[in-house]
Amino acid sequence: MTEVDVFISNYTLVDPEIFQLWVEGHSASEAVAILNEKGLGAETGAPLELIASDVLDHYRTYSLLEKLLSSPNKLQEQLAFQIDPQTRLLLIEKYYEFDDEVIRELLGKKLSSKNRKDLDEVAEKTGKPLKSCRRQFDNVKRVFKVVEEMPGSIIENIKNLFYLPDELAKKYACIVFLACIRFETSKKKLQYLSFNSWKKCCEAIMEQWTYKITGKSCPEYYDTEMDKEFLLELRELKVLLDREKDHNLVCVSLKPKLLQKNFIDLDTNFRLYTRTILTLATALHRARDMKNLFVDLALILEYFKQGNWTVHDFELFLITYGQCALEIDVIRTDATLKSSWEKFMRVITKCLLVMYI
Amino acid sequence: MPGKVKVKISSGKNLPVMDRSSDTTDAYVEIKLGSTTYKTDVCRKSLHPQWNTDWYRFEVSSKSRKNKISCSFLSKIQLLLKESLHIPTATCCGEDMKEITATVLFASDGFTDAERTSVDDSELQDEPLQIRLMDHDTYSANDAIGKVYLNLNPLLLPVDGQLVKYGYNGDSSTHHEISGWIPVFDTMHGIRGEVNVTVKVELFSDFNRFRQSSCGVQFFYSPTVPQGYYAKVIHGFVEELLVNDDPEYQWIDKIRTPRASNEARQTLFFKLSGELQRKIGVKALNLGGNAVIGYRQSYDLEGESGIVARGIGTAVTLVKSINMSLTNANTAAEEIKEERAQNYLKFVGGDKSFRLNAAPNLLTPIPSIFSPTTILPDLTHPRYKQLSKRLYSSLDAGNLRSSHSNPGLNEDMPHSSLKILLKQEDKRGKPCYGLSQRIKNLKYSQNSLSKKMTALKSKLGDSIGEEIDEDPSLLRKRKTFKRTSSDSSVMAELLARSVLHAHNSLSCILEVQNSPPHDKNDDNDDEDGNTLEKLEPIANLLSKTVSEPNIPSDDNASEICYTSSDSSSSCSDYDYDNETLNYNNSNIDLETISNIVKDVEMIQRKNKIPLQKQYSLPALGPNRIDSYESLSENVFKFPENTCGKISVFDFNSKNDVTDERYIESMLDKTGFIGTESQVENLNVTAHVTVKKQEDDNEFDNFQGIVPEAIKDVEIKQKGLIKTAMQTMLLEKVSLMGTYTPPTSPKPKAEFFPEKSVPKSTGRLSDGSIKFEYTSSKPKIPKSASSISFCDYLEHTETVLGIPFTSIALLKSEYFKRQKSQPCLSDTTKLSSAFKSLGVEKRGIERQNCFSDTQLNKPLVKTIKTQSHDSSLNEKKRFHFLHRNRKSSESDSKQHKNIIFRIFHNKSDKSLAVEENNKLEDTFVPDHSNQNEPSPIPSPCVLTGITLHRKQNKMELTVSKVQSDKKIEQSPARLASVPCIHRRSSDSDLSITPKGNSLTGSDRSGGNPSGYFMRNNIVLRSQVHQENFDMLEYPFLTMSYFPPGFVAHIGGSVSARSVKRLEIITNVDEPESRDTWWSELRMEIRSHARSLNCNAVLGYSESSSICDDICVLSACGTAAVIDFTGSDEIEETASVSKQNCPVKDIMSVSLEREKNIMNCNKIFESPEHFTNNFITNSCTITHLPYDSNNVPIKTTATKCALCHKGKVPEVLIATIEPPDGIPSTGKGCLIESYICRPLKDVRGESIAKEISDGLPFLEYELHRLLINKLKIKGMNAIFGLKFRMSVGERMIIGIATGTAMFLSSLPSPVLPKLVSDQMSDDKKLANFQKLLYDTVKKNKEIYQIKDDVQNGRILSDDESDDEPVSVDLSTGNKDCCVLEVDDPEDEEVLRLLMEERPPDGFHVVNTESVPGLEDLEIVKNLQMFTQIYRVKFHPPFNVNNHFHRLLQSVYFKLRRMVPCALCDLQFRIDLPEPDEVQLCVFEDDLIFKLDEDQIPENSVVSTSQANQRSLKYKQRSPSKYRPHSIKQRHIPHRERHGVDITPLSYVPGGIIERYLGNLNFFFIRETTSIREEGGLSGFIHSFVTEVLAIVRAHVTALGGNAMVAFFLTEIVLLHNLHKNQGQCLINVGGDVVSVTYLKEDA
Repeated sequence: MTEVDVFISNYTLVDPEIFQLWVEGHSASEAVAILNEKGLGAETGAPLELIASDVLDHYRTYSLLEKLLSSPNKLQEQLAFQIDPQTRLLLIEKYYEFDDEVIRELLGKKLSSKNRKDLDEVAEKTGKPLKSCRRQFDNVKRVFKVVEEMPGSIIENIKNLFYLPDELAKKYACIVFLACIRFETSKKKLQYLSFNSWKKCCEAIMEQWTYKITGKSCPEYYDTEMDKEFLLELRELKVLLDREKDHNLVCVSLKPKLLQKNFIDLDTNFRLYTRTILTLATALHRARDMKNLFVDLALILEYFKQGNWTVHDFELFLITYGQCALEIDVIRTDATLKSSWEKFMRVITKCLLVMYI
Repeated sequence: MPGKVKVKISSGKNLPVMDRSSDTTDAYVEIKLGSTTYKTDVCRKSLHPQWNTDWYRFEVSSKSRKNKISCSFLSKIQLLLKESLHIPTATCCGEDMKEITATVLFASDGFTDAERTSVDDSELQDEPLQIRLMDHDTYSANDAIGKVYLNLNPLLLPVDGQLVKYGYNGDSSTHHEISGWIPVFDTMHGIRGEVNVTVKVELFSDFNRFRQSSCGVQFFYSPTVPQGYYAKVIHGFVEELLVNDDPEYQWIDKIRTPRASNEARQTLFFKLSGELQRKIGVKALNLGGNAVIGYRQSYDLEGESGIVARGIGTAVTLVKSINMSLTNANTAAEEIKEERAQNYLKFVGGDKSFRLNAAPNLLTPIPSIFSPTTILPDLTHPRYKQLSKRLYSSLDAGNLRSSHSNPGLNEDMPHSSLKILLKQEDKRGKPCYGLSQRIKNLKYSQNSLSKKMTALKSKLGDSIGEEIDEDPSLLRKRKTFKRTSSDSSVMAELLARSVLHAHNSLSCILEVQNSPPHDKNDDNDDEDGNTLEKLEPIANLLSKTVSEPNIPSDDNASEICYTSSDSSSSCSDYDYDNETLNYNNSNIDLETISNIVKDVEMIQRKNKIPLQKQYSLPALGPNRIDSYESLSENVFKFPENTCGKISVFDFNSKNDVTDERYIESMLDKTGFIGTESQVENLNVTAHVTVKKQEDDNEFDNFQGIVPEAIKDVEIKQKGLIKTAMQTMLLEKVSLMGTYTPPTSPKPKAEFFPEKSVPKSTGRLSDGSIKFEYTSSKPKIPKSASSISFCDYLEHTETVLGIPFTSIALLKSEYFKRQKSQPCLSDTTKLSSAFKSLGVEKRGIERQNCFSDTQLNKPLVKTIKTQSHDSSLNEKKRFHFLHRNRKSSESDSKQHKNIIFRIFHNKSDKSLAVEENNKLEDTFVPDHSNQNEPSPIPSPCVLTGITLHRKQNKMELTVSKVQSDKKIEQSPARLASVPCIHRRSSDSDLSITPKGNSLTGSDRSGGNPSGYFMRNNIVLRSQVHQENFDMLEYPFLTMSYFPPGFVAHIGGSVSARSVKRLEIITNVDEPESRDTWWSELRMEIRSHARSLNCNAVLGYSESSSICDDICVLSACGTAAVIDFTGSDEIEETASVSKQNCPVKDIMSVSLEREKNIMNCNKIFESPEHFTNNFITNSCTITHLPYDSNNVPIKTTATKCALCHKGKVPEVLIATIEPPDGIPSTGKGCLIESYICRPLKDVRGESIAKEISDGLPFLEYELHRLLINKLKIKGMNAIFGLKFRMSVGERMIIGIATGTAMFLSSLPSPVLPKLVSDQMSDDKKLANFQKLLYDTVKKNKEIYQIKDDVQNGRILSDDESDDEPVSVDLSTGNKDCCVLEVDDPEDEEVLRLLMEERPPDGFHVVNTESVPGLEDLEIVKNLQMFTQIYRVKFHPPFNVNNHFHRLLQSVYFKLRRMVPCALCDLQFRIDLPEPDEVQLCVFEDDLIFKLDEDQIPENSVVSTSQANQRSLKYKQRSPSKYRPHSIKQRHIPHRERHGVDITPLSYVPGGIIERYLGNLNFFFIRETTSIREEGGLSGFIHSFVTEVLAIVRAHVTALGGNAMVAFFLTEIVLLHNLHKNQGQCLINVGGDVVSVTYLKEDA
């Protein structure tokens, strides 16, 4: 019986395959089985024992590495493991990669230890190993905690602090953003949204509604914090509520493009639609309403869904709707209002389109 | 105050949370060095504290060490006092001390300072700088976070003057500091953050003679000469052993925390390591080295009996090879020397009233000009002449007593002081103060000399074609000057002492002796006036010098000397006249001499020191020179005469021959003069001095630098020569000066022209041979007459290293010339001469051996007649007879021992001179029996030099009788050596003490001067060789040697012993451990000698401890070292790749050497000689011994390449395959393992069982190894490593090596299968077929082109060396036969045919893969460690585990393919009764495997492997590339991080600088082993951390790689039930800075 079987090398060896298995949360024995099934044993003529020994070595290494991976900057400067830069990046990237499904489950949840305990539900639901869920949870939590209060571009911060690749950093940025604003994400109406959808929406919001664009007043948190001025500005859109002209403009421009059915629906319900959208806009300065943004959006979507709008038509409507408003003199004369409207509509359009599945 | 250490703590990071409430830490740092501690401020609430402290300074002359200082100081004073006052040692203890100290104190001012400093920097070396991080806690005790140990030794290196001058150049300042992030290690928690430290050391120059520190001696774990350096001189084996209590077993451990006890241990280990290194450094310094390479350090954890720290290494003088401007080096060296000398003078002679020691006084003049030194010797000489009676009177009366020397003191002083020193050294393991330092001085001077030599060499090289004469002359000049002074003084002292001794002990004899010398003197005076009219001018000169006001004392001395010299010359004449009287006298003299010699030996060593110092003296005044010359001229007679005689004997008529010989003889003279002088000195002090002077004169003449002087000399010589020539010859022969042949004008004339001719024309090819010849002759007489000879040689050699080197150079030149100019005529003559020599030797030997005077005489006569056909004169015969008589008489007088010694010495000398290993030859008969002890059949492959052979032949006849004994494998050493063996034993005993006396310590065998010279440049002089032989242990721990260094490989030798541990009562005197090892070493040495080898290479020691049983083993490779190291070899080596023969120890057959032994064959010898030198690379594989001559049975065949040499069937060696060894195909790893269960007994009985079983184990191991080798189709093993380990229930042996196919050896014979069971025929046939197929396939795989059986076919001799019929019952050892009787055997058979490593792996345990030289290593150096520990269950099949281990290594490296695993090291331990632990290191593409197995009931094996993955760039489109089955995911990476490799080089990189060596001992303990992933997880993380720490230290030192990495001593203790575990690891290596070669795209 083997009591000790340890293989240590000066330059830490990382087997991407095994590391992947480890990251995915497979136990060592599972990993051995998987590898063997993949034909490693057959290919090399190695008995299971050897594979197991190898896997165990790697697993031990990775578990020792895990501490460092939790703060990749340490990994960069640590001495315990000599890893070449490419491999290091690979390690980090793989470690911080996550499953959208799992993350989707985590969205909107408080990143507390209580929720961490409930991860088994997530695991069950997503079919991912609990270990993996925990890892993802921890990663998210860690990233969130570090970046949350940090000034500067969130994406840049994540990239700098965690040495994550661009794509991954953006994802994390969205997650962090969602968590920062505390958008309602777990309502039943929103359950259908995938993480990817969320990501797109968030990116749009972050792009348009935060201080990122304006760059004014509060530069520290510019892309995780809503542009308060802008939101207040949105209140002014109330003026649009009474304008029938708006209706006409939209209808006229859309008539030739839309399906008849949809056009009729629009024509009849235009007031309802525009009211809903404008109400949303004017209420966004309230934190609670902001949190419920996506719920509200879902409500809007429901109207169109009931009207069986095609995506194409819906998109046309949104675009036209946005543009027509600009032609109303109230907005046309007020530059601030105009830009606010544009910003608002860009995001809303994007989000609604993403959500309109 | 030698040093100041400055420490700065700037910051920390990633500290652990120590305060749970705030999740932070309030950290501060304690910095401790020695007993001084500093603390930083507390940096509150931060895990990344910033201290940014100022420099903390440790000035190392702190008061804390006062006690120590005073102690050592007192002891030193004690010493000195004893020396000066002749106080017997007994009285010098205790209370007497006070008085003594009181008396001494007045003189001690300069002294104490030096002392203090020395203590201090020794402390710097011993003590690690300890940096401890603490967490401040207001309310409770502060918690420790962790600790950092910084070894300051690397910082001490560049600062020291010697290294800076010798090795380092300018950029050394760049690594004066340690700076960087270093992990903070805690024994309970592992690494806990890092701390940023900067440490600087400022060393003040310290030239204290008495220091105990060895700052500046650089240590290399690398078993080869480090890159960028070349070893100018290889001095020999240094060793040290320390014992300490293990804190783990002290009572206090019961009450302190595990952390405290672990840290105490760690600290202790650090200190032990430092101390060990320091002491070895001191020994190296004493030997004259400036570095230690092949350093090995190991700890024996003996449990309750303590910790034993052992270190072995090879002392060398390293020179930066880049530094081509030798002149600079020379000057630098000289400067250093002078500085030192002056310092020393200041120190010693600052207070003139303080005359404790004569030696220091002698030393004092060093810096000053030549004159004083010369004077001193002169003084002694006269004393000597007059011997006891007149000694005192003469001293008193004479002007002799210069201010320097108090005659009375000098005489007795040396003895007592020596003894004391020796004692102290022995006891303390510390180098003796006075002597050692002196020796150091000598070494230094030598170094400087050697540098000069090198410079000269270079010059020579340039001018060789044109004028060789001048160069040598220059060399000689220097030599002469130095020598004269030194020699004379030393000699004088020695003589005086010896005389005194003799007087005391042998008063009667002395009386007899005394009378003749007196007569001689008188006669001399008369004769001088009469015969040597020409000398008058000289006398005038002398008188002038005398008259000179400046140096009155000198003059007196010189006069005396002169007279003495004259007298000696005259004496010879006189003696001649009164043959009968003299004859008697001579006999008497011999007796006395023999007695004296013993005493003298000791003294002489002392003398060496002064001599060396004298060397350093710049130059003589012109007057003096003249006088010297004149003297020398007078004296000159002797050497010239001897030479002339010799030459005359050989070739009376032919001028050419004579000329050559003459030159040679001159050379010989220089070499021999020492010997002769010694001999004569014994007889007559004056003679010695004269001779020395003569030498000087000779040199001068040759040089022609001082034309005038030369002219004078020549003229004088002419006159003198006439008279002296014959007389000298006779004298030499008779040594005692009994015969004085009448002066014949003829020889003079001939000689003179000869002299001039040779100078101008250059020495012809014969020169070398002649040289040897001549040397041998003088030796003979000398040996007969004087024992002192050897001693003298040592002295002179060490001291005179330079001249010898020059000689060597000359020799090499000769060789070259020989090549170009074939002189046929000479050869015949030479051969005849050789014959004669051989005959003479025989006779002598016989005499010695049998001590039959009568027999010898006739033999000699016959021999004479035979050998000296034309040349022999009646005189010669006469001489021979005389000699014989003398020898016989001496023998009869029960000086047998002495004689033996002499013989040994002689042989050694001759060897040295001749470059051949006569020593070995002589030794062979002696030691033949000694081989017995080695249980393992040691395969010896020696390539014999032709000269060797000759001599061997000669001797063999004599020794045959002795040698035929077959040695059985007996596990332990021989209890008693029979009479025949006595010689060997005697030699051991007698020689070793000498070495001791020199170094002053038994243990270290710090014998001064075995000089191996490396790189052809360096040469070995006789003396050196002598010294080397005189070394207690002629071992080298290096495993890789430059081409040409190793002449022949004899085979591996090993010795083991089983000991029971007992508590070491006195830690300061670990005598028992010392004795254990010295026993082993002696055994190894005797093995080597029995194989006719003069050195043991790749020497290593190991131990395995289980409970109270300790198995010690030592092994190495017996080899013949080529002291001359001619360039030719290198050149030719590359040219000729051919096959060489190997010999298997196990397989035996007597060969036809006998034929060769015939006189006829002797003729061949010269040819052989030249041939060997010129060409064959295969010579290295030739047997250095005669197969008949060796106690073991051997099979030897003719070399397949040259068809001349004898080669063994199988060659096994522990060293790396030498460059240029003719091999084909690739190498592969070969290993065997045997496990034997032990009975469940304890104590004595288990020890006995083990020791009984060891030989069988070893035999089995070997057999398995050989069988596997054959199945691999190869015939040589290199890099053999044995590892024995004992457990409670079993003992396991592992042998690993790299198999190669040497083309000079016969290809292996296919094993034959034999079975008793008739029914198995079919099966058997199958097996046989299988076997055959396997072998065939192996050959294909390893690309062994079989010119098959080449060796075998070519071996002209008896074909019956193959055992046709196998008689198993007789215990046939032949490996070619495999017995298949039962399933178990089949199992074995299968094992033999074990699978090969998968494609793409090249596995070897040498540093490079044989056969893959043409592949370039591309990248990815990867080192790995594998630890494997298993429960070991009763079938005890180690093989399985081993196999699995390798398989797993292969498997884990599968992504690196193609790769090579080099330097695979295995280590096996049996930690628990049921566990085996295997440890492997490897390197990928070059890699190393280290495996440990621990057997117990359950086998736990830990294997560690270091692997580097290098990718070979193949130049040849071969299959390897495509092999890479899987993509390497690490394809192209830049170099980053720290490379760690067990190799001594960095593949793909060039080592730019060596930054010191590191050695760590870490302990890690845990109480949560389950939580850490079990034992494996625990070890995994620990090893990882250890590597991390090592890398951090490497980086902090400014390096980017570590070579020669070792990981030893993985001790893993655990208790799973308690969830506890403890692990100890010892790692280390050389820190280097590497530049990587840029890759070509």
